[in-house]
Amino acid sequence: MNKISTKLILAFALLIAVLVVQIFLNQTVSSKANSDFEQLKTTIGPTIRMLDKFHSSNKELRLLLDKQNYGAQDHENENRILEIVEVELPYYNSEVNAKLSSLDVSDNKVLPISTINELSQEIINEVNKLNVIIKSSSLRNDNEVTKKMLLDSEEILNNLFFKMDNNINLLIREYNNEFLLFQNHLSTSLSNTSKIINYSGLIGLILSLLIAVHTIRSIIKPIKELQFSTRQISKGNYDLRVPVSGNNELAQLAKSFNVMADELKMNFDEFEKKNKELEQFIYIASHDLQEPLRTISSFTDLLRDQYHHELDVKAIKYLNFMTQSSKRMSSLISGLLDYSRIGKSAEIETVNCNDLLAEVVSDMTASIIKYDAEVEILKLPSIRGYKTEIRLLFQNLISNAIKFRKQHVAPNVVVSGREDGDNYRFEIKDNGIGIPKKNLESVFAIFQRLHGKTKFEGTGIGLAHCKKIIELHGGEIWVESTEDVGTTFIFTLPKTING
Amino acid sequence: MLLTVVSFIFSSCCNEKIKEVNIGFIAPLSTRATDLGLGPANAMALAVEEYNTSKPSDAPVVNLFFEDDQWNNELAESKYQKLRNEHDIDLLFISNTGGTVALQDEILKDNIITINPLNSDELLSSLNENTFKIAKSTEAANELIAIRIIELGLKNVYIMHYPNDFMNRATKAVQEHLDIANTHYKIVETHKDQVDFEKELNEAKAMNAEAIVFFGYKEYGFAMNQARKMGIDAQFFGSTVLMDSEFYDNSEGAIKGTEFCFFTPADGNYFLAKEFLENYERNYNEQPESIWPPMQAYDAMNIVLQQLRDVNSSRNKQQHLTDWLKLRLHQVRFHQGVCGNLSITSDGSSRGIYFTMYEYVEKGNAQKIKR
Repeated sequence: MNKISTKLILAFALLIAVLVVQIFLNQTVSSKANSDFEQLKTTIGPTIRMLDKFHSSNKELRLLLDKQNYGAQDHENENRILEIVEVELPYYNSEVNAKLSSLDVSDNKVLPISTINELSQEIINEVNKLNVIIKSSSLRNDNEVTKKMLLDSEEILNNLFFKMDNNINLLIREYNNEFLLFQNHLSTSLSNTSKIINYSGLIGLILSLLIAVHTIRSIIKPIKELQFSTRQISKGNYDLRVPVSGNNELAQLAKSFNVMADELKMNFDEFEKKNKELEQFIYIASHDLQEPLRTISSFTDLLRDQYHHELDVKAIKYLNFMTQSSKRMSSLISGLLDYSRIGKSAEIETVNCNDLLAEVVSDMTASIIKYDAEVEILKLPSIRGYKTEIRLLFQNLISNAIKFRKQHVAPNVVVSGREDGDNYRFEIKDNGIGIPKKNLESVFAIFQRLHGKTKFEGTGIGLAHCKKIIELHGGEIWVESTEDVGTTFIFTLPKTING
Repeated sequence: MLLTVVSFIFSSCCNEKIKEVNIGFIAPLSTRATDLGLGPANAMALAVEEYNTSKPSDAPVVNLFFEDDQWNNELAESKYQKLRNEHDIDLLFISNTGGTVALQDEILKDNIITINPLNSDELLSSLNENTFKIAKSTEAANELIAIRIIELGLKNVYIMHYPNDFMNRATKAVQEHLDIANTHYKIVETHKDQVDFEKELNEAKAMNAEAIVFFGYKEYGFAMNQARKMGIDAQFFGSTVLMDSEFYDNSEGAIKGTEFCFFTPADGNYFLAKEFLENYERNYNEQPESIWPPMQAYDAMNIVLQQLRDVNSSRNKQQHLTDWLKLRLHQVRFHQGVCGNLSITSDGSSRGIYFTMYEYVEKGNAQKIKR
């Protein structure tokens, strides 16, 4: 039950249940509405329309007969009377009669329908009789007798039409009442449908909100905690752990995360220990190697100074080789020593880069003048970091920019820096020989040299120093370069740095 | 085995559905009274075409076949047999009253429904139950002439009639009314192909006839011409067939001014009739010579086709098509046709087509008389 998947399934099942109930209720009410609508459309509505026509035909017949009785002779008039009497009245009468079969004996409509049936037949008979009278009168010209018969017939017909009108009106009223009744049913059904949709929609909405809030609480909160912990661990805070509550999937994930963090911390501690041992070894080794190297170098010097008369040219040459190699080895060991010392016993402080670069450029004046170099320092930010190491960083990069210059081209170096989100971004751009694309990755490796010792002097550890300094600060360094155009070293340093 | 049983049940079930209905129409398509045959034949073909293109998918296809009786009732039986033998017709339309009478035994024996789309009269209504008349009443149409004669106060009426049942019946309708009004009249039956009426007209002149009634076909055009040439200025009256163009030609214009009972779209459901005539002209590139016969035929055919639309869904499978159709036709209470709102009574005759009096104005043109 505590599992998120179970909760989600239950939540969806609940929503689906609400939907099913809504559909069922809707169907029930709609079905009733449809039945009412069908009744209105196919039975009651057409019946009322038919009764209206029946009524109209009767009225028209009465008017036509009046016209005829008062002497108007018109074949169209006579033909229309015949059409009503022979076709329309029998048709409407049969339609009205057909309704009887579907009515209960106690229905209010039964009596008027039966009466209409009788009256209709009487009217037809009386009109036929009247037509005979009129026809014979026009043939015989016995007007007095005819007049009397016409008056009698007119009276009978007036009486029949009056009754017919009343009964048709009564029937129309009954059907209209039924129409209103079904219309009310239909209206109620539609209103109920609307209510069902509204209420079930509201219930669904509330349930959805509750489920959403619950889901957010039970899913999003632990995920955020996990996200925060991941960030902290990535920044080196290996002691942080995610709080574990409950026994759901996310709690399991948090537990696994914590186990992973434990493992990571243990491995990191081990790694740091090994690293320290390695650095200690490098430091001791390089420090202890200096002493015998100095002894070799000083005895080589003594041999050359004190016995140079006894040594031939070849021996002197060999001695010079030994001196050069000793010096070079000394440089390499020094480089290693410096590498292992980076970050040792230093403190984080605010570094004004403009001041720092001014000092660096001052220290390099001889080299700058010698090679006619131009070093342009743009406005730089103040940063937090290890000042000595940052100084070494800039010194190495500017020194490289001057060293790897193009022949017959005065070196031009531009140092710039700016804020970039949570970091400071610096660029050291030169117009030197550039670095082949394939070597862009390997330039930061220790003792990596891209050129021969004779072409460009140096140990090949400078950029390894730079990389270590940047990593010490938690930043990144990379290089962009185009051969024979120039190189730009770019590095970032975080604004906040843990001591 | 099961498959065989299923396919048997399926095939026997489907065999009960009517897929085709063949209808025959015997009419004067040549020789005499072609205005009563050609127009109606076209109108029926039009109705059938409209039905076949718009019918429900399970309704039968209707095929229509014509036979020409040259307006001679003696040819009716042979034409009927031809239609039965060659096309196995299920239903017959026939215009000629005498022909309808002549076929009574045959249609009853074959259980075929016969519909007269031209005339309905007392004789036809007394025939067997397979005979229907979806047409105007001969008596009602022609008595209008008698009423008109009396109304105009014309004395000494000379009535000439063609020797067939319809004209005989028309004459009797007039005679009955003239008797009641005590109007003096004389009735003469002429011969079938008679073209010289001098003897009869001299008789009319001698009795100082103020009205001459021509109950006949195109040959009476010669009589009208002769009468005027003989100096007879009596008012002419005619029956429903006056619009035959040969009638006018034979009369050399003497027919103008003749009053006759007739029917135009204005006497029926005007808009439906107008639409029908437009469709007719579109299909045949001409207007019918006489308007009312095709209008009646169109309504008669449509009443039948209306029933056939649901023959396969409403007919009891054991019921013969003729029996089913007979019942259905008797139940027609209100058919909104081009001639008016029609119903069919228990004797198989229709109600709802009412003729009025017209005056012959020009060739092919008649005008309603205002009373």
